[in-house]
Amino acid sequence: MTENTIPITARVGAEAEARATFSDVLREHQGMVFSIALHFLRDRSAAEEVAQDVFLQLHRNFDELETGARMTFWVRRVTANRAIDYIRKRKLRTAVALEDAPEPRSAAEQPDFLLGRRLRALIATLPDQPRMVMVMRYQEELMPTEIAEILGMPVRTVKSHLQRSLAMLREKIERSMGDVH
Amino acid sequence: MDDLERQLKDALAREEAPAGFEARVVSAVNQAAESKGTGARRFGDRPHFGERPRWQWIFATAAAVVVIGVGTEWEHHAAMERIKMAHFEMEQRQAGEAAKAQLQLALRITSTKLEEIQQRIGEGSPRY
Repeated sequence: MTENTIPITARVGAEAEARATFSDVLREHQGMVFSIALHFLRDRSAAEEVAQDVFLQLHRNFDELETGARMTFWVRRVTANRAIDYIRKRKLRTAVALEDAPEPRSAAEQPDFLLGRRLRALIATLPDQPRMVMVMRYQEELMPTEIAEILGMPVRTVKSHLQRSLAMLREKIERSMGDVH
Repeated sequence: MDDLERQLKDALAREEAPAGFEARVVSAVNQAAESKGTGARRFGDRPHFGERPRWQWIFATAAAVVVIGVGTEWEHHAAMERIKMAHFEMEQRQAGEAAKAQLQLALRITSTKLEEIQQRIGEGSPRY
């Protein structure tokens, strides 16, 4: 795919060195956008649909956006909002509370490499906002202040979501490990 | 960062976008730009300021055709009336002139007859 196939040649930033085309931004951020949507939705086709919408919106607003960190911030925020909107509209998420989620099978029954899958399954049972907070914290490795800015919520709320989610996950995992001993 | 957090980080590590994702985005962007360029909109979208739905244009065109048609027909009718009136006036004038000529002829004949009668009366009466 060449640059010419994209009907936009807008450049970002005033400095010649900072120029970036839409293709550059798409290439740089596609993995991040797709992964945020995938870890939040746990559905590959839905994640791709959301990611595509994010880039269409990016293209529409490309001329007005700054490059670099602000662009990344904007992309993360739009992705989070789109993913949450998507799940609210489609009602993809099952109404299973974390406390009611099935216990992961014991380590004796499953090899350790499935731990990641178990964790993702448990995260999927979290409500929308704590789930997105967890994705931003552990996929994007953002600090609570950054997450608060992206998701438009107080920092203390972000910290509270993190603490409660971690405590519940730890309890679920330890309980399943305890079954082994 | 404890073990659980490290495991979470591994579990939620970024993944590559699906194969062909970039091409599909570019295609969608081009499609959106193309439809914007031609003014095409999805069904149900409200028209922009200054734009009218297609049926309104059809109605306006039909109304214009009817108005022009009626106007043309009226103009034709008025022209025919003017011609008829001119023809009628000409016929009236010709009839008047013919009547005048007949009257003048009748007067001339009458005058001639009177002269003849006067002549005969003059010739046949005794002289005193």
